[in-house]
Amino acid sequence: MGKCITRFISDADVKKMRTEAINILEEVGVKVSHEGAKQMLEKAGAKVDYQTDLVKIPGELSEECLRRLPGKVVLGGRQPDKDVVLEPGNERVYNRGMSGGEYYIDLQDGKYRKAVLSDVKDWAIATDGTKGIDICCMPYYYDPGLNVSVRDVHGFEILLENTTKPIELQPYGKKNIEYMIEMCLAEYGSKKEFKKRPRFMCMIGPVSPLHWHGNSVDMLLLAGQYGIPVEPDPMPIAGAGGPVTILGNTLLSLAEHLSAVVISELANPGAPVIFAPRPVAMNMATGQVIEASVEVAMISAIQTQVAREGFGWPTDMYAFVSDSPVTDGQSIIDRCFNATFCAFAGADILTGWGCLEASITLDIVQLAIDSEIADMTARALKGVEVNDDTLGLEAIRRVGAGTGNTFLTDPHTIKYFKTEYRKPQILTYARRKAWEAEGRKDLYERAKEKVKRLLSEHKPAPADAALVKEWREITERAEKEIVRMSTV
Amino acid sequence: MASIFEEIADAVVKAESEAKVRGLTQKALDEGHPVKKILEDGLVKGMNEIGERWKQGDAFIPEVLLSAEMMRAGIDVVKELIIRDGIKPLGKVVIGTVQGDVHSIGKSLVGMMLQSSGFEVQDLGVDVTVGKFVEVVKAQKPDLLALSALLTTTMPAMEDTIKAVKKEGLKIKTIIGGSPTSQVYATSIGADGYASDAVSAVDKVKELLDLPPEIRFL
Ligand code: B12
Repeated sequence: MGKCITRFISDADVKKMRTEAINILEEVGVKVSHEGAKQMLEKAGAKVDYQTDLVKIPGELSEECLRRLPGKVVLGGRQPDKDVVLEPGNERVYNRGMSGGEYYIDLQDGKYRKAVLSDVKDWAIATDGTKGIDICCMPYYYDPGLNVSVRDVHGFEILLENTTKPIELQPYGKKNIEYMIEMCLAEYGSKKEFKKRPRFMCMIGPVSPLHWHGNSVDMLLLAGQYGIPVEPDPMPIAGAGGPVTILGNTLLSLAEHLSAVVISELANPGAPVIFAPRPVAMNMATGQVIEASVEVAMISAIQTQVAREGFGWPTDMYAFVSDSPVTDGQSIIDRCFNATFCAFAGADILTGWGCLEASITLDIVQLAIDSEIADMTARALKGVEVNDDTLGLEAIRRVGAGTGNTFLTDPHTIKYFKTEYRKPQILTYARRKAWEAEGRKDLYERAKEKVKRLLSEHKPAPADAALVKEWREITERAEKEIVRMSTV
Repeated sequence: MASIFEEIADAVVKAESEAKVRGLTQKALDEGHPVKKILEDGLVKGMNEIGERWKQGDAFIPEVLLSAEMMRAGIDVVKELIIRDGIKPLGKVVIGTVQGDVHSIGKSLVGMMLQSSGFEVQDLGVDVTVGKFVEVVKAQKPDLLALSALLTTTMPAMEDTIKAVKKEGLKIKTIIGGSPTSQVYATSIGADGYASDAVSAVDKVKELLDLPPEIRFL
């Protein structure tokens, strides 16, 4: 049957955007501030200006690199049953949170505060125990005495320990990734095994418009060597870092992603690269970013369509997003628009469970609500299969016209009533009296209870004790060896 | 009929073309009006007006920035006379995003706002090393150093930069900003000021340099 997919633009439009993205790299070029990458690109036929770092990539080179992309991307869980497998024609959609978000809504008193170390663990446990979320991410926590430059490494350790699901993070540098790889190799035993189903993927972004800093290129190249899926996250703020129009912004993101594909595939043919743009617009009244307006949702949808149909890229889209600083009506409106647009455009991964305030604040209660939204989305994506039985032809004939009979006990009803309708987790279908009898709890209250219960009951499968010890030692070493970034 | 000053102010607000602003400014000069008056009642007045509209929510950032470009085009025409008459920018500001951090948009916005408010601004870009800041501050002797950081990991570089600049014994004020920073953090690292956005940054900088809030050009 396949996923139920909606198209926002025509075949011809998709083709045009593909062509223009390739042309941008050929005519405008991309700035690559990395000596090794510049040499590599020049050798492959790109025009390189070593003074300005500007690299112009011929269309054929782009096409050649596109052909080198793997047909399938695998992200490993602790056991294979938790693996995430992205391939064209995927019947299902995967979900994840978002690494980032430094502020946190306290689950006990509802107060807004900075995220702390224990939140990372809660987040991992909630992810581990919640149905429908497949990839675990890391809140950017604060801790007294924390060496922030290794926060990603330390957070990774906590995630490895507390979830069996695959992991996504936004690493700070090449060295940091090296420690994470070391932790994984301790678990997998060999690079070969790790490469088959790497335990984590990395978000590594260009700077819009069209610029790759050396640090990011270093990370792209290292990840590629180990087969770690990378998620370049073009983020041309519409009207500031990128064109203001929906399509212009979409196009620039595509071109920027293509440049990541070229760099990655030239260095490591077959390296997995996932399109993970982060569309945002500038609020021209205040200068802040807008992450979840309906126009942003449209950018996401069109980006997904062109990435999928035009380039065959796997996509990871910012779906559960909101500009609201709290979990409220707006946070739900925002994410419902964005999540459904992305899902119906055919995204492989929907991202952002628990995010508020343009991904700066996290609320674990929102995460519980997102579980419901994702489940509804998945249901709708399954779509319908048209045949005589699903049309209920026989049943309609059986019950007849105005006979006084109903469908209630008709075999057709009995056959389908359980499977056709999704069972809600926290939405209520109760009418007022029943709802009052249940304690007049609103959605937030119900979600909060659910997540509290989950955190007290769910115990992630423990990781091997010797491994945990080894991970700890690696983090401690990282803490000593990676000095504060500023003093480098 | 509108006076030449009103025409200039209007051209800055409408921001149709730099050529128009330049032409009108030249015309005012040719008519023998004093530079100070051309600035105050024309170019700067127009800029103030668009700024005011923006505060009211009637104008948007790109319009404010365009008008600032218009004002600058006009100032270009009278530049030599400004120097001759001893009219100075409000102060000199060096701004940059600290080492390890490539977030540029907030920093650029603050820089542009300061510039359009009458400051001379040198923008060092992003990922600026402590050494570079010190070098520029020593050479240019600005009145104020403005540092931006968007990553928690790069906030310590603000502290390092401020310490290094202070160590040089230079008389300079410092201000920091960027979403993870705060007044508390600013105080803790010895920065003189903090602002949460580009508009309050302008007010704060004026405060730090002992300038009255409404002033533009000395
Ligand atoms: C756009 C963006 C990027 C773009 C930047 C493009 C560019 N040219 O600037 C790119 C893609 C490059 C990027 C990269 C990264 N980013 Co980023 N990025 C953002 C994003 C979405 C918006 C920032 C922005 O431009 N806002 C618009 C401007 C106008 O606002 P502003 O910067 O806050 O500036 C205002 C005020 O803060 C203040 N201000 C700013 N500077 C100054 C200076 C002074 C002196 C004063 C007085 C005031 C002041 O005034 C400004 C105007 O009002 C934020 C999330 C968000 N919602 O804010 C994340 C965010 C800042 N990024 C984040 C991260 C983690 C990263 C990466 C590490 C991710 C990765 N692994 O790739 C890299 C790091 C790269 C690096 N080494 O710097 C995190 C930071 C978490 C943290 N505090 O540590 C955020 C919060 C996202 C998140 N939730 O995870 N990012």
